[in-house]
Amino acid sequence: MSLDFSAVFTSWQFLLAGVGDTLALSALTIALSLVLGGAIGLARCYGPSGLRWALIFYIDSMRSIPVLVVLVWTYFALPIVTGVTLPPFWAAASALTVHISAYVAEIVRAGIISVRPGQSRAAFALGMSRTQAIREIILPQALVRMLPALGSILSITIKDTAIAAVIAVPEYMNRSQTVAGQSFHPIEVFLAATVVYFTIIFPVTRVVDIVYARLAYLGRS
Amino acid sequence: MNYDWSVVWRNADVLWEGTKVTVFLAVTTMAIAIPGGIALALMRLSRIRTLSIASAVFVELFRNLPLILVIYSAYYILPVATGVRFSPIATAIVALGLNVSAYNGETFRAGIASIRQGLAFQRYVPRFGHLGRRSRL
Repeated sequence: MSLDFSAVFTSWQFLLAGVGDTLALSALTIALSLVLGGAIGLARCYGPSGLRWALIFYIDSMRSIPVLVVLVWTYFALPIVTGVTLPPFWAAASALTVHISAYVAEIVRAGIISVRPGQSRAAFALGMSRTQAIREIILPQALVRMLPALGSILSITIKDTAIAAVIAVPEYMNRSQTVAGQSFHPIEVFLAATVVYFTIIFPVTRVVDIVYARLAYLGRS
Repeated sequence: MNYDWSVVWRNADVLWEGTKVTVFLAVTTMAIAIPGGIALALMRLSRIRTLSIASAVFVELFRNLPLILVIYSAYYILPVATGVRFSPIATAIVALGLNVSAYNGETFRAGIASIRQGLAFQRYVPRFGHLGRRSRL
């Protein structure tokens, strides 16, 4: 069997624009999920108990629903229920954010409870308030310990944006499908996609690992 | 607005079939990916460099590719590579098996690495053979 990559090269501008959309969607989703997930994780640990139960319900349901279902729901069912029609890109960004935030919240919570209770007791013994203990003692250590898991979330988010192809967001996966369909060279087009996704995501996970290796000592206690 | 749930009930049998496929895929994938993950983790920790590098490349490749891309690639590449036309379900099992094996491999590796060094030193107790020590500890 011989490979003919000409389809990839003749459509490179079309595909490159897709890579741009993939990156934009990933960056937006990651930024929103870190903020939202961080807030949810903190509220899940320190918030009033009514709010805490609501957030546990939210997190556990998001973790038990496939992201594809959330995405299809946001794009196809939300307009019928609320009358608000989101353009595909924004539907994908909000569905992914709603999904990924739940995972970020769990990571934040795991990081916070990984700091031994003796640490906050010592902080109280020194006369710190609860807010001070959280801000000065717990979070600095917890943040460093969360890094490896947050690194996985980065790569998972970039990979999950490929699912947005299903609701016709013109990101890289969707455009690859188009080019594959038009050129009848699916193997070459998807091989190229394999290489492109790998070269985007692999450095991201490596960089997070290197940063963590440098900072890990800050999280020890 | 009015919802019409009867559409769900009228198609209950079709949806039920789909549920069974979901469960079947999950069980089959795990049946493949748990032994696969253990094999990858042991290869990764092996002293034979070729095995360790091969496992690292496999794991990093499938951890860094979107699952949907692996499924599409498997669907188009498997028939060309093997000359056999696979059913969609078989394709899904292959793709999921590859992806989940890679993740399981990392999980098992972390699990093995988290056992304290002192336990591994027990290999110097004569009774434990080379293979016996990993499986028993």
